[in-house]
Amino acid sequence: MSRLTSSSEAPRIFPPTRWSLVLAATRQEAPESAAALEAICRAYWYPLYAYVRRCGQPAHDAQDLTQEFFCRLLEKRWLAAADREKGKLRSFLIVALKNFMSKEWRRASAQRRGGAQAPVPLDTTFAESQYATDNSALAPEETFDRQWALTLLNLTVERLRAEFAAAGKPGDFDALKGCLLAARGSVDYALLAAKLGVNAGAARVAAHRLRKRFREIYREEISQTLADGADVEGELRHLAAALARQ
Amino acid sequence: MNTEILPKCPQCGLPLPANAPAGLCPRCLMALNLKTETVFTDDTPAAQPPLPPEQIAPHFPQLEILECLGRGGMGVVYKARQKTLNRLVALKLLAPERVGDVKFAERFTREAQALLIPPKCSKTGRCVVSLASFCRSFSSFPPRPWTRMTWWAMR
Repeated sequence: MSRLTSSSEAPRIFPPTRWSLVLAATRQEAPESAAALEAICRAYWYPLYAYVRRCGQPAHDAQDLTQEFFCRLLEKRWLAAADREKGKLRSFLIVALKNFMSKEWRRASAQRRGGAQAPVPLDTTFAESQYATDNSALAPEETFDRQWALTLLNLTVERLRAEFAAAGKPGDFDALKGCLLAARGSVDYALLAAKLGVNAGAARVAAHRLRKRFREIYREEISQTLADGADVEGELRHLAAALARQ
Repeated sequence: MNTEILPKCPQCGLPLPANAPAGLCPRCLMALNLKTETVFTDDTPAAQPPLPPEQIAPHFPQLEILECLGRGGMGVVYKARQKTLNRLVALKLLAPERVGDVKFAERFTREAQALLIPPKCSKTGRCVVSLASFCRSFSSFPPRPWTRMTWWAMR
């Protein structure tokens, strides 16, 4: 419930971020680190897949490579190097993936043909259909950063949607989501009020709260990918710039 | 690459990616993240008519709400009688259309705090009687969740 707490209330005690839990696991046995690492794989694998594809790997190889990369990541082989990447999960993952592609991929694929490991369950078919619609002309690293920003946006929106569902108002999110777009004066509050079944004043308040909550959650999601106390606003600006590229 | 024409964002006109969050343009969503305000200037609502005393009264059982004295840019002021001390007081409520404006709510709170110090009648005839309990009761007031109020005597 702490995520629902308003920022205007008493100071909150922030739990360790997902990424800092993983970093801690390199120094000591931490039972929660395995779950954190798995959550990272589940949430952030598509940007890595898109990077591999943009590097010119065909779909099938990119699927194998991404699977293999996460198998190795779950073995925690590279986590000792994580501190060097300025405390960012994003930087760590892309550096680790590049190393894997340049040095270990061929050897790993040869081992895989021997059939040693269970694959990480990634929906690579869906990933490929999504990648096929990407018409941008970005470099591989730009693609990775852009997809990273998009992944965080999707995580944020899905959390917002889940909060509305938990409050018993799943339909309200669909009615209100258009208010998240930042154009001024473009929201028809009378229409919105009719959809929500409230008066216009309450519709304005609901729109304002949704915008505010969206911003809170996006920052929380970013902070999950940084070491404790890192510069969230700096990372936010970096991702905004990545998203602006075509 | 797929050459199929992708839908475009109605705000910025750029094509929407297949993984656009909830079908919303990611660039426009990100623009919201970079803004310093979540209440937009153009959204500033028109003043709404004040509620009649009889609709206010159930939420302030300690008071007899007599009449609405008027409204300004920030709030609505009612003339009331404090039942326990049998004296006239003024009840000021944040204007309902301002509830979503965080800065406005903060200004209103500062005004309330200023009136609380010192808590005694002055020569101009204003004194603060109470604040906190009404803030709590009024914040849960459906269907118009106003957030702040002040109250001062008018004798």
